[in-house]
Amino acid sequence: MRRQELGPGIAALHNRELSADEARRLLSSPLSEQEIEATRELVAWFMRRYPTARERFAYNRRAYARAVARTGIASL
Amino acid sequence: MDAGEFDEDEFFRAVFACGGRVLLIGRQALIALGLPVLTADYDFWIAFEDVERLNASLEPLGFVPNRSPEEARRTGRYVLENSEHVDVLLARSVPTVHGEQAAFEDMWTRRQTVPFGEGVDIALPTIDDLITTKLFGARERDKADIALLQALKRGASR
Repeated sequence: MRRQELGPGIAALHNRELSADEARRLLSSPLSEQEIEATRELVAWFMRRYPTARERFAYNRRAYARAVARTGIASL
Repeated sequence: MDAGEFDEDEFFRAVFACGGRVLLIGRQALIALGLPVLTADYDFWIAFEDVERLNASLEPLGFVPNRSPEEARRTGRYVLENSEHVDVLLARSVPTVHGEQAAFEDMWTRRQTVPFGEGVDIALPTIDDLITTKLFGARERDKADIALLQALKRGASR
């Protein structure tokens, strides 16, 4: 699969290391009901549309290739 | 082997039929669990003893390791590459950024499996353990994946 990296500024933000405190906060911060429901619906659609792991992996390859072709960015 | 010839079915069959203890981690594990995220990479955490088994299984597909098994064991990780990029972790345990120690043996014992098809099962860590793996070298980009995994767990428990 063709790879093209993010620009240096965006890559620096994207790859910034989290501190121990940030990690702890991330784990303890509560999720909203909306976030949980939105994820549940997304997963339900994905599993219904692509019932096997094999189909979901294949979807990823197609969708990733489309995203790279559209944006030219491979570090998604 | 170029990108057009890569057979993902054959790849996963080779990985999970190698006879070693192999856990799928990273974003491909999220996809296996039903989260529609995108990635170009494959990440595995394997038992310390099983590097030769995995290499032998992927060698016919053109994958070449960037380190010898001895070097890989010394550094705790290596890469297998052809047109695809496979990150392999083989440390016995890895610290998280917030100071916890995660052991492969523990994650392997708690593992879950997802059917891939054609009689092949994919082994991956529990959702909590996948969150832990995201904290090994946690970066800004991992925050969204951690939130998705937390939401997946909360949604599944209803």
